[in-house]
Amino acid sequence: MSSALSFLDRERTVAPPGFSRWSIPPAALAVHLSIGQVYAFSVFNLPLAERFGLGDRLQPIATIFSIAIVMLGLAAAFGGTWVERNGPRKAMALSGLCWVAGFLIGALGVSTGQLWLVYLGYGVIGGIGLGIGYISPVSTLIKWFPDRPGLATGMAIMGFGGGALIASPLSTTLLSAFAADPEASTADGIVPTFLVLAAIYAVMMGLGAWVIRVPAQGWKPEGWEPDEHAAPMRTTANVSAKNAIRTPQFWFLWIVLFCNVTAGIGILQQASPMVQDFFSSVDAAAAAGYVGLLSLCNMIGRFVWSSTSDVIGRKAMYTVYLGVGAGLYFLVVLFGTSSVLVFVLLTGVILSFYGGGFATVPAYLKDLFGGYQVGAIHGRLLTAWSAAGIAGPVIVTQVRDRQVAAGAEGSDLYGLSLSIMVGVLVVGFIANALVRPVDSRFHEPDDDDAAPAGGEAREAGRPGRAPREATGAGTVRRTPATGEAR
Amino acid sequence: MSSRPTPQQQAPAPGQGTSLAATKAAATGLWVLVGAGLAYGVSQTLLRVVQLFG
Repeated sequence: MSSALSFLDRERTVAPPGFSRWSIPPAALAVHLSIGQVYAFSVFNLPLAERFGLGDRLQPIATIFSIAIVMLGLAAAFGGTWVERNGPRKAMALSGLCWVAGFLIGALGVSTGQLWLVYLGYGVIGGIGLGIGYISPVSTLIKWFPDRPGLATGMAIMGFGGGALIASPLSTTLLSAFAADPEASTADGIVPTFLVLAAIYAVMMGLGAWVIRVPAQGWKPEGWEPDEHAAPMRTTANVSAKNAIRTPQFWFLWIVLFCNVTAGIGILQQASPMVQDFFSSVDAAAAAGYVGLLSLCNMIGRFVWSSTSDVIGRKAMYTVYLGVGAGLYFLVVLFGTSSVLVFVLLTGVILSFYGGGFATVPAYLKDLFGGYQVGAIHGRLLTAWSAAGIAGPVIVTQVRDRQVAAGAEGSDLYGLSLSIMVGVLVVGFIANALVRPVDSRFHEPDDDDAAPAGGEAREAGRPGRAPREATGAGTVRRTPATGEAR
Repeated sequence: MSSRPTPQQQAPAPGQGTSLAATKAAATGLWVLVGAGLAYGVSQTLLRVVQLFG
Protein backbone atom coordinates (compact mmCIF):
# COMPACT_ATOMS: atom_id res chain seq x y z
CA MET A 1 0.00 0.00 0.00
CA SER A 2 2.74 2.38 0.99
CA SER A 3 4.64 1.66 -2.22
CA ALA A 4 1.45 2.19 -4.21
CA LEU A 5 1.19 5.64 -2.69
CA SER A 6 4.88 6.44 -3.04
CA PHE A 7 4.17 8.46 -6.20
CA LEU A 8 2.84 11.08 -3.80
CA ASP A 9 6.23 11.46 -2.11
CA ARG A 10 8.22 14.62 -2.52
CA GLU A 11 11.13 12.65 -4.00
CA ARG A 12 8.88 11.41 -6.80
CA THR A 13 7.77 14.91 -7.73
CA VAL A 14 11.15 16.34 -8.71
CA ALA A 15 10.80 17.83 -12.19
CA PRO A 16 12.62 16.02 -15.01
CA PRO A 17 14.75 17.92 -17.53
CA GLY A 18 12.63 19.88 -19.98
CA PHE A 19 9.77 20.41 -17.58
CA SER A 20 8.22 23.85 -18.06
CA ARG A 21 7.59 25.89 -14.93
CA TRP A 22 4.45 27.25 -16.61
CA SER A 23 2.86 23.85 -15.92
CA ILE A 24 2.79 24.73 -12.22
CA PRO A 25 0.37 27.72 -12.14
CA PRO A 26 -2.59 25.79 -13.63
CA ALA A 27 -2.00 22.99 -11.10
CA ALA A 28 -2.08 25.53 -8.27
CA LEU A 29 -5.05 27.32 -9.81
CA ALA A 30 -6.97 24.05 -10.10
CA VAL A 31 -6.69 23.55 -6.34
CA HIS A 32 -7.45 27.16 -5.39
CA LEU A 33 -10.39 27.46 -7.80
CA SER A 34 -11.83 24.28 -6.27
CA ILE A 35 -11.49 25.25 -2.61
CA GLY A 36 -12.56 28.83 -3.40
CA GLN A 37 -16.08 27.39 -3.62
CA VAL A 38 -16.33 27.95 0.11
CA TYR A 39 -17.07 31.66 -0.46
CA ALA A 40 -20.10 30.65 -2.52
CA PHE A 41 -21.55 28.42 0.17
CA SER A 42 -24.23 31.00 0.97
CA VAL A 43 -26.00 29.83 -2.21
CA PHE A 44 -27.00 26.75 -0.21
CA ASN A 45 -28.18 28.63 2.89
CA LEU A 46 -31.88 28.91 2.07
CA PRO A 47 -32.26 25.43 0.50
CA LEU A 48 -30.44 23.85 3.46
CA ALA A 49 -32.55 25.76 6.00
CA GLU A 50 -35.65 24.46 4.22
CA ARG A 51 -34.30 20.90 4.01
CA PHE A 52 -33.61 20.83 7.75
CA GLY A 53 -36.92 22.55 8.61
CA LEU A 54 -35.30 25.61 10.17
CA GLY A 55 -37.72 28.16 8.74
CA ASP A 56 -36.17 31.62 8.87
CA ARG A 57 -33.38 30.56 11.24
CA LEU A 58 -30.22 30.67 9.15
CA GLN A 59 -27.70 30.64 11.99
CA PRO A 60 -27.42 26.81 12.20
CA ILE A 61 -26.66 26.78 8.46
CA ALA A 62 -24.23 29.71 8.66
CA THR A 63 -22.37 27.65 11.28
CA ILE A 64 -21.30 25.22 8.52
CA PHE A 65 -19.34 28.01 6.81
CA SER A 66 -17.92 29.25 10.10
CA ILE A 67 -16.65 25.78 11.04
CA ALA A 68 -15.02 25.44 7.62
CA ILE A 69 -13.22 28.79 7.94
CA VAL A 70 -12.03 28.04 11.48
CA MET A 71 -10.73 24.67 10.31
CA LEU A 72 -9.02 26.39 7.37
CA GLY A 73 -7.06 28.59 9.77
CA LEU A 74 -6.21 25.71 12.11
CA ALA A 75 -5.17 23.33 9.33
CA ALA A 76 -3.02 25.99 7.67
CA ALA A 77 -1.38 26.92 10.97
CA PHE A 78 -0.74 23.40 12.24
CA GLY A 79 -0.36 21.59 8.90
CA GLY A 80 2.17 23.94 7.34
CA THR A 81 5.24 22.06 8.52
CA TRP A 82 3.72 18.75 7.39
CA VAL A 83 3.09 20.27 3.96
CA GLU A 84 6.70 21.46 3.72
CA ARG A 85 8.01 18.04 4.76
CA ASN A 86 5.82 15.93 2.50
CA GLY A 87 5.74 18.10 -0.57
CA PRO A 88 3.00 19.63 -2.67
CA ARG A 89 1.65 16.50 -4.37
CA LYS A 90 0.86 14.66 -1.17
CA ALA A 91 -0.57 17.87 0.33
CA MET A 92 -2.76 18.54 -2.70
CA ALA A 93 -3.93 14.92 -2.73
CA LEU A 94 -4.83 15.11 0.96
CA SER A 95 -6.54 18.43 0.40
CA GLY A 96 -8.55 17.03 -2.50
CA LEU A 97 -9.46 13.92 -0.52
CA CYS A 98 -10.72 15.99 2.42
CA TRP A 99 -12.52 18.51 0.21
CA VAL A 100 -14.33 15.84 -1.82
CA ALA A 101 -15.06 13.74 1.28
CA GLY A 102 -16.53 16.88 2.84
CA PHE A 103 -19.06 17.17 0.03
CA LEU A 104 -19.86 13.44 0.07
CA ILE A 105 -20.38 13.29 3.85
CA GLY A 106 -22.32 16.55 3.62
CA ALA A 107 -24.55 15.01 0.95
CA LEU A 108 -25.10 12.00 3.23
CA GLY A 109 -26.06 14.36 6.04
CA VAL A 110 -28.53 16.21 3.84
CA SER A 111 -30.10 13.05 2.46
CA THR A 112 -30.52 11.54 5.96
CA GLY A 113 -31.56 14.80 7.62
CA GLN A 114 -28.52 14.82 9.96
CA LEU A 115 -27.16 18.36 10.18
CA TRP A 116 -24.25 17.24 12.34
CA LEU A 117 -22.97 15.17 9.44
CA VAL A 118 -22.85 18.35 7.33
CA TYR A 119 -20.93 20.07 10.13
CA LEU A 120 -18.50 17.15 10.26
CA GLY A 121 -18.25 16.67 6.51
CA TYR A 122 -18.20 20.07 4.83
CA GLY A 123 -17.24 21.97 7.98
CA VAL A 124 -14.54 19.93 9.72
CA ILE A 125 -13.16 17.57 7.06
CA GLY A 126 -13.74 19.94 4.15
CA GLY A 127 -12.25 22.76 6.23
CA ILE A 128 -9.05 20.76 6.73
CA GLY A 129 -8.92 20.35 2.96
CA LEU A 130 -9.29 24.11 2.62
CA GLY A 131 -6.37 24.89 4.91
CA ILE A 132 -4.00 22.32 3.46
CA GLY A 133 -5.03 23.17 -0.10
CA TYR A 134 -4.58 26.90 0.42
CA ILE A 135 -0.95 26.64 1.47
CA SER A 136 0.12 23.55 -0.50
CA PRO A 137 1.19 25.18 -3.80
CA VAL A 138 2.58 28.41 -2.34
CA SER A 139 6.17 27.47 -1.51
CA THR A 140 6.42 25.37 -4.68
CA LEU A 141 5.38 28.34 -6.81
CA ILE A 142 7.90 30.54 -5.06
CA LYS A 143 10.65 28.01 -5.79
CA TRP A 144 9.72 27.87 -9.47
CA PHE A 145 9.43 31.65 -9.80
CA PRO A 146 12.22 33.12 -7.66
CA ASP A 147 12.38 36.00 -10.14
CA ARG A 148 8.65 36.77 -9.91
CA PRO A 149 7.21 35.32 -6.69
CA GLY A 150 4.46 37.93 -6.49
CA LEU A 151 3.13 37.06 -9.94
CA ALA A 152 3.27 33.33 -9.19
CA THR A 153 1.48 33.41 -5.84
CA GLY A 154 -0.91 36.07 -7.14
CA MET A 155 -1.97 33.74 -9.92
CA ALA A 156 -2.72 30.89 -7.53
CA ILE A 157 -4.37 32.92 -4.79
CA MET A 158 -6.44 34.70 -7.45
CA GLY A 159 -8.00 31.27 -7.88
CA PHE A 160 -9.32 31.31 -4.34
CA GLY A 161 -11.18 34.53 -5.17
CA GLY A 162 -12.28 33.19 -8.54
CA GLY A 163 -13.58 29.91 -7.14
CA ALA A 164 -16.68 31.58 -5.76
CA LEU A 165 -17.32 33.42 -9.03
CA ILE A 166 -17.55 30.03 -10.73
CA ALA A 167 -19.23 28.03 -7.97
CA SER A 168 -21.98 30.53 -7.25
CA PRO A 169 -23.69 30.55 -10.66
CA LEU A 170 -22.81 26.89 -11.25
CA SER A 171 -24.42 25.81 -7.97
CA THR A 172 -27.52 27.90 -8.65
CA THR A 173 -27.85 26.31 -12.08
CA LEU A 174 -27.36 22.79 -10.72
CA LEU A 175 -29.82 23.30 -7.86
CA SER A 176 -32.49 24.39 -10.32
CA ALA A 177 -31.66 21.63 -12.78
CA PHE A 178 -31.96 18.87 -10.16
CA ALA A 179 -34.99 20.24 -8.31
CA ALA A 180 -38.34 18.71 -9.20
CA ASP A 181 -40.02 22.12 -9.06
CA PRO A 182 -37.32 24.81 -8.96
CA GLU A 183 -39.91 27.59 -8.78
CA ALA A 184 -41.19 26.20 -5.48
CA SER A 185 -38.02 24.86 -3.88
CA THR A 186 -34.49 23.79 -4.75
CA ALA A 187 -33.92 21.85 -1.51
CA ASP A 188 -34.25 18.49 -3.26
CA GLY A 189 -31.45 19.50 -5.60
CA ILE A 190 -28.83 19.85 -2.85
CA VAL A 191 -27.62 16.24 -2.74
CA PRO A 192 -27.08 15.77 -6.50
CA THR A 193 -25.49 19.25 -6.66
CA PHE A 194 -23.05 18.28 -3.89
CA LEU A 195 -22.24 15.06 -5.74
CA VAL A 196 -21.60 16.83 -9.05
CA LEU A 197 -19.41 19.44 -7.37
CA ALA A 198 -17.50 16.66 -5.60
CA ALA A 199 -16.86 14.94 -8.93
CA ILE A 200 -15.69 18.17 -10.60
CA TYR A 201 -13.36 19.04 -7.73
CA ALA A 202 -12.01 15.46 -7.58
CA VAL A 203 -10.96 15.71 -11.23
CA MET A 204 -9.56 19.24 -10.93
CA MET A 205 -7.60 18.64 -7.73
CA GLY A 206 -6.47 15.19 -8.87
CA LEU A 207 -5.06 16.65 -12.10
CA GLY A 208 -3.45 19.45 -10.12
CA ALA A 209 -1.75 16.96 -7.79
CA TRP A 210 -0.55 14.91 -10.75
CA VAL A 211 0.92 17.85 -12.63
CA ILE A 212 2.63 19.58 -9.68
CA ARG A 213 6.42 19.21 -9.51
CA VAL A 214 9.17 20.63 -7.37
CA PRO A 215 12.27 21.98 -9.11
CA ALA A 216 15.41 19.84 -9.17
CA GLN A 217 18.41 20.81 -7.10
CA GLY A 218 20.33 23.58 -8.73
CA TRP A 219 17.46 24.67 -10.96
CA LYS A 220 16.90 28.31 -11.64
CA PRO A 221 15.18 30.21 -14.43
CA GLU A 222 17.24 30.41 -17.58
CA GLY A 223 19.24 33.60 -17.76
CA TRP A 224 18.27 34.66 -14.26
CA GLU A 225 20.86 35.41 -11.63
CA PRO A 226 19.85 36.45 -8.13
CA ASP A 227 20.79 40.02 -7.30
CA GLU A 228 22.10 40.18 -3.78
CA HIS A 229 22.36 43.93 -3.57
CA ALA A 230 19.34 45.31 -5.40
CA ALA A 231 16.74 44.90 -2.67
CA PRO A 232 17.71 45.30 0.98
CA MET A 233 14.37 43.86 2.15
CA ARG A 234 15.05 40.56 0.38
CA THR A 235 17.03 38.15 2.48
CA THR A 236 19.68 35.83 1.18
CA ALA A 237 19.24 33.57 4.19
CA ASN A 238 16.57 31.18 5.46
CA VAL A 239 14.56 31.13 8.66
CA SER A 240 12.65 28.08 9.94
CA ALA A 241 8.96 28.34 10.76
CA LYS A 242 9.76 27.66 14.40
CA ASN A 243 12.12 30.61 14.54
CA ALA A 244 10.04 32.88 12.33
CA ILE A 245 7.28 33.21 14.91
CA ARG A 246 9.91 34.42 17.38
CA THR A 247 10.77 37.40 15.23
CA PRO A 248 9.08 40.80 15.48
CA GLN A 249 8.84 40.80 11.67
CA PHE A 250 6.38 37.90 11.77
CA TRP A 251 4.13 39.68 14.23
CA PHE A 252 4.34 43.00 12.38
CA LEU A 253 3.23 41.15 9.28
CA TRP A 254 0.51 39.43 11.30
CA ILE A 255 -0.81 42.88 12.27
CA VAL A 256 -0.47 44.10 8.67
CA LEU A 257 -2.51 41.17 7.32
CA PHE A 258 -5.03 41.39 10.16
CA CYS A 259 -5.64 45.11 9.53
CA ASN A 260 -5.85 44.77 5.74
CA VAL A 261 -8.27 41.84 5.96
CA THR A 262 -10.36 43.42 8.73
CA ALA A 263 -10.90 46.54 6.62
CA GLY A 264 -11.79 44.62 3.46
CA ILE A 265 -13.95 41.95 5.01
CA GLY A 266 -15.98 44.58 6.84
CA ILE A 267 -17.20 45.92 3.48
CA LEU A 268 -17.38 42.54 1.77
CA GLN A 269 -19.58 41.00 4.42
CA GLN A 270 -21.99 43.96 4.54
CA ALA A 271 -21.81 44.90 0.85
CA SER A 272 -25.41 44.22 -0.09
CA PRO A 273 -27.15 46.09 2.77
CA MET A 274 -24.51 48.84 2.69
CA VAL A 275 -25.04 49.84 -0.94
CA GLN A 276 -28.82 49.74 -0.41
CA ASP A 277 -28.49 51.95 2.68
CA PHE A 278 -26.26 54.41 0.81
CA PHE A 279 -28.57 54.62 -2.23
CA SER A 280 -32.32 54.15 -1.97
CA SER A 281 -32.43 53.62 -5.75
CA VAL A 282 -30.44 50.36 -5.45
CA ASP A 283 -32.67 47.30 -5.00
CA ALA A 284 -31.69 43.76 -3.92
CA ALA A 285 -30.99 42.55 -7.47
CA ALA A 286 -28.73 45.52 -8.21
CA ALA A 287 -27.03 45.01 -4.84
CA ALA A 288 -26.27 41.42 -5.88
CA GLY A 289 -24.55 42.90 -8.93
CA TYR A 290 -22.52 45.13 -6.64
CA VAL A 291 -21.46 42.10 -4.56
CA GLY A 292 -20.40 40.35 -7.75
CA LEU A 293 -18.39 43.37 -8.84
CA LEU A 294 -16.59 43.48 -5.47
CA SER A 295 -15.73 39.77 -5.84
CA LEU A 296 -14.32 40.51 -9.28
CA CYS A 297 -12.21 43.39 -7.91
CA ASN A 298 -11.06 41.10 -5.09
CA MET A 299 -9.96 38.47 -7.60
CA ILE A 300 -8.28 40.85 -10.05
CA GLY A 301 -6.48 42.67 -7.24
CA ARG A 302 -4.87 39.41 -6.17
CA PHE A 303 -3.14 39.03 -9.50
CA VAL A 304 -2.51 42.65 -10.50
CA TRP A 305 -1.22 44.04 -7.20
CA SER A 306 0.77 40.95 -6.28
CA SER A 307 2.50 41.09 -9.69
CA THR A 308 3.11 44.81 -9.19
CA SER A 309 4.87 44.02 -5.91
CA ASP A 310 7.58 42.21 -7.92
CA VAL A 311 8.43 45.59 -9.42
CA ILE A 312 7.98 48.07 -6.56
CA GLY A 313 8.74 45.73 -3.65
CA ARG A 314 6.55 44.12 -1.03
CA LYS A 315 6.87 46.77 1.66
CA ALA A 316 5.99 49.56 -0.78
CA MET A 317 3.01 47.57 -2.02
CA TYR A 318 1.62 47.22 1.50
CA THR A 319 2.24 50.91 2.05
CA VAL A 320 -0.14 51.46 -0.87
CA TYR A 321 -2.70 48.91 0.38
CA LEU A 322 -2.79 50.42 3.84
CA GLY A 323 -2.02 54.10 3.20
CA VAL A 324 -4.01 54.63 0.02
CA GLY A 325 -6.64 52.23 1.39
CA ALA A 326 -7.11 54.44 4.47
CA GLY A 327 -7.42 57.47 2.20
CA LEU A 328 -10.03 55.71 0.05
CA TYR A 329 -12.05 54.74 3.13
CA PHE A 330 -11.96 58.40 4.19
CA LEU A 331 -13.19 59.42 0.73
CA VAL A 332 -16.08 56.96 1.04
CA VAL A 333 -17.07 58.68 4.30
CA LEU A 334 -16.82 62.14 2.67
CA PHE A 335 -18.08 61.55 -0.87
CA GLY A 336 -19.58 58.03 -0.86
CA THR A 337 -23.12 59.29 -1.25
CA SER A 338 -22.34 61.59 -4.20
CA SER A 339 -23.07 58.91 -6.80
CA VAL A 340 -23.30 55.14 -7.22
CA LEU A 341 -20.35 55.26 -9.60
CA VAL A 342 -18.07 57.03 -7.10
CA PHE A 343 -19.11 54.62 -4.33
CA VAL A 344 -18.53 51.57 -6.52
CA LEU A 345 -15.15 52.84 -7.74
CA LEU A 346 -13.86 53.62 -4.26
CA THR A 347 -15.02 50.37 -2.66
CA GLY A 348 -13.92 48.39 -5.72
CA VAL A 349 -10.34 49.62 -5.35
CA ILE A 350 -10.48 48.97 -1.58
CA LEU A 351 -11.53 45.36 -2.29
CA SER A 352 -8.76 44.97 -4.86
CA PHE A 353 -6.32 45.96 -2.10
CA TYR A 354 -7.95 43.40 0.19
CA GLY A 355 -7.33 40.65 -2.37
CA GLY A 356 -3.87 41.98 -3.13
CA GLY A 357 -2.96 41.76 0.54
CA PHE A 358 -3.71 38.04 0.58
CA ALA A 359 -1.77 37.35 -2.60
CA THR A 360 1.31 39.44 -1.81
CA VAL A 361 1.94 38.10 1.67
CA PRO A 362 3.64 34.80 0.66
CA ALA A 363 6.19 36.75 -1.39
CA TYR A 364 6.68 39.20 1.50
CA LEU A 365 7.35 36.23 3.79
CA LYS A 366 9.76 34.78 1.27
CA ASP A 367 11.61 38.09 1.08
CA LEU A 368 11.95 38.25 4.87
CA PHE A 369 12.40 34.60 5.85
CA GLY A 370 13.68 32.93 2.66
CA GLY A 371 12.06 30.03 0.85
CA TYR A 372 13.10 27.26 3.26
CA GLN A 373 9.79 26.89 5.14
CA VAL A 374 7.79 29.71 3.64
CA GLY A 375 4.68 27.52 3.29
CA ALA A 376 4.68 26.67 6.99
CA ILE A 377 5.28 30.30 7.97
CA HIS A 378 2.46 31.34 5.65
CA GLY A 379 0.16 28.84 7.32
CA ARG A 380 0.90 30.29 10.75
CA LEU A 381 0.33 33.82 9.49
CA LEU A 382 -3.12 32.91 8.21
CA THR A 383 -4.37 32.90 11.81
CA ALA A 384 -4.56 36.67 11.23
CA TRP A 385 -7.20 35.94 8.58
CA SER A 386 -9.28 33.92 11.05
CA ALA A 387 -9.05 36.71 13.64
CA ALA A 388 -9.93 39.37 11.07
CA GLY A 389 -12.84 37.27 9.87
CA ILE A 390 -14.35 37.81 13.30
CA ALA A 391 -13.22 41.41 13.90
CA GLY A 392 -14.20 42.98 10.56
CA PRO A 393 -17.85 41.96 10.43
CA VAL A 394 -18.26 42.58 14.19
CA ILE A 395 -17.03 46.18 13.85
CA VAL A 396 -19.33 46.98 10.93
CA THR A 397 -22.45 45.16 12.13
CA GLN A 398 -22.20 46.15 15.82
CA VAL A 399 -21.66 49.82 14.99
CA ARG A 400 -24.45 49.73 12.42
CA ASP A 401 -26.87 48.17 14.91
CA ARG A 402 -26.02 50.84 17.49
CA GLN A 403 -26.54 53.57 14.91
CA VAL A 404 -29.91 52.07 14.04
CA ALA A 405 -30.83 52.07 17.75
CA ALA A 406 -29.77 55.73 17.91
CA GLY A 407 -32.16 56.58 15.06
CA ALA A 408 -29.60 57.00 12.27
CA GLU A 409 -30.39 55.85 8.74
CA GLY A 410 -28.97 55.58 5.24
CA SER A 411 -25.25 56.23 4.86
CA ASP A 412 -25.10 57.64 8.43
CA LEU A 413 -25.26 54.03 9.63
CA TYR A 414 -21.73 53.44 8.35
CA GLY A 415 -19.87 56.72 8.97
CA LEU A 416 -18.44 55.61 12.31
CA SER A 417 -17.53 52.07 11.27
CA LEU A 418 -15.81 53.31 8.11
CA SER A 419 -13.89 55.85 10.21
CA ILE A 420 -12.82 53.01 12.53
CA MET A 421 -11.54 51.15 9.46
CA VAL A 422 -9.40 54.17 8.59
CA GLY A 423 -7.85 53.83 12.06
CA VAL A 424 -7.37 50.07 11.61
CA LEU A 425 -5.56 50.66 8.33
CA VAL A 426 -3.34 53.33 9.92
CA VAL A 427 -2.32 50.78 12.58
CA GLY A 428 -1.43 48.35 9.80
CA PHE A 429 0.45 51.10 7.97
CA ILE A 430 2.60 51.73 11.06
CA ALA A 431 3.24 48.00 11.55
CA ASN A 432 4.37 47.72 7.93
CA ALA A 433 6.65 50.73 8.34
CA LEU A 434 8.32 48.95 11.28
CA VAL A 435 9.22 45.85 9.23
CA ARG A 436 13.00 45.50 8.91
CA PRO A 437 15.20 42.64 7.72
CA VAL A 438 15.29 39.67 10.10
CA ASP A 439 18.21 39.54 12.52
CA SER A 440 20.86 37.03 11.42
CA ARG A 441 20.66 35.12 14.73
CA PHE A 442 17.38 33.63 13.45
CA HIS A 443 18.94 32.40 10.19
CA GLU A 444 19.48 28.74 9.43
CA PRO A 445 23.14 27.76 9.03
CA ASP A 446 24.36 27.88 5.47
CA ASP A 447 26.70 25.11 4.29
CA ASP A 448 28.19 27.50 1.81
CA ASP A 449 28.69 30.24 4.32
CA ALA A 450 32.45 30.55 4.57
CA ALA A 451 32.52 33.16 7.26
CA PRO A 452 33.46 31.25 10.37
CA ALA A 453 33.63 34.21 12.69
CA GLY A 454 30.20 35.48 11.77
CA GLY A 455 28.89 31.95 11.64
CA GLU A 456 30.06 31.21 15.16
CA ALA A 457 28.56 34.38 16.45
CA ARG A 458 25.24 33.57 14.88
CA GLU A 459 25.34 29.97 16.06
CA ALA A 460 25.90 31.07 19.63
CA GLY A 461 22.98 33.44 19.55
CA ARG A 462 20.55 31.29 17.60
CA PRO A 463 17.31 30.77 19.50
CA GLY A 464 16.15 27.16 19.78
CA ARG A 465 17.08 26.10 16.27
CA ALA A 466 15.70 22.72 15.32
CA PRO A 467 18.05 20.17 13.78
CA ARG A 468 17.94 20.58 10.00
CA GLU A 469 17.05 16.97 9.27
CA ALA A 470 14.08 17.11 11.58
CA THR A 471 12.56 20.03 9.71
CA GLY A 472 13.17 18.26 6.41
CA ALA A 473 12.02 20.03 3.32
CA GLY A 474 13.49 17.41 1.03
CA THR A 475 15.49 17.83 -2.08
CA VAL A 476 14.62 21.41 -2.87
CA ARG A 477 15.49 22.64 0.56
CA ARG A 478 17.72 25.57 1.08
CA THR A 479 20.00 27.63 -1.02
CA PRO A 480 21.77 28.15 -3.29
CA ALA A 481 21.06 24.68 -4.66
CA THR A 482 17.32 25.31 -4.57
CA GLY A 483 17.43 28.32 -6.82
CA GLU A 484 16.15 30.69 -4.17
CA ALA A 485 16.45 34.40 -4.74
CA ARG A 486 19.79 35.11 -3.24
CA MET B 1 11.46 29.58 -19.70
CA SER B 2 12.08 25.97 -18.95
CA SER B 3 14.27 24.21 -16.48
CA ARG B 4 18.01 24.41 -16.87
CA PRO B 5 19.41 20.91 -16.41
CA THR B 6 22.22 20.24 -14.03
CA PRO B 7 24.86 17.66 -15.02
CA GLN B 8 23.05 14.95 -13.05
CA GLN B 9 19.88 15.56 -15.03
CA GLN B 10 21.33 14.98 -18.48
CA ALA B 11 20.34 11.32 -18.64
CA PRO B 12 16.60 10.92 -18.20
CA ALA B 13 15.35 7.67 -16.77
CA PRO B 14 13.59 5.19 -19.12
CA GLY B 15 9.98 6.22 -19.65
CA GLN B 16 10.60 9.73 -18.42
CA GLY B 17 9.92 11.20 -21.84
CA THR B 18 6.48 9.60 -21.97
CA SER B 19 5.73 10.79 -18.48
CA LEU B 20 6.86 14.32 -19.34
CA ALA B 21 4.64 14.40 -22.43
CA ALA B 22 1.67 13.18 -20.40
CA THR B 23 2.31 15.81 -17.74
CA LYS B 24 2.55 18.53 -20.38
CA ALA B 25 -0.73 17.38 -21.88
CA ALA B 26 -2.37 17.40 -18.45
CA ALA B 27 -1.01 20.87 -17.72
CA THR B 28 -2.33 22.15 -21.03
CA GLY B 29 -5.70 20.59 -20.25
CA LEU B 30 -5.68 22.29 -16.87
CA TRP B 31 -4.90 25.67 -18.45
CA VAL B 32 -7.95 25.17 -20.70
CA LEU B 33 -10.16 24.06 -17.80
CA VAL B 34 -9.21 26.86 -15.41
CA GLY B 35 -9.37 29.42 -18.23
CA ALA B 36 -12.84 28.27 -19.25
CA GLY B 37 -13.97 28.20 -15.63
CA LEU B 38 -12.74 31.73 -14.97
CA ALA B 39 -14.31 32.99 -18.21
CA TYR B 40 -17.62 31.44 -17.15
CA GLY B 41 -17.42 32.95 -13.65
CA VAL B 42 -16.44 36.42 -14.85
CA SER B 43 -19.11 36.52 -17.56
CA GLN B 44 -21.82 35.41 -15.12
CA THR B 45 -20.68 38.06 -12.66
CA LEU B 46 -20.66 40.80 -15.28
CA LEU B 47 -24.22 39.87 -16.21
CA ARG B 48 -25.21 40.58 -12.60
CA VAL B 49 -23.18 43.80 -12.51
CA VAL B 50 -25.20 45.15 -15.44
CA GLN B 51 -28.22 45.25 -13.12
CA LEU B 52 -26.38 47.67 -10.82
CA PHE B 53 -26.07 50.35 -13.49
CA GLY B 54 -28.89 49.15 -15.71
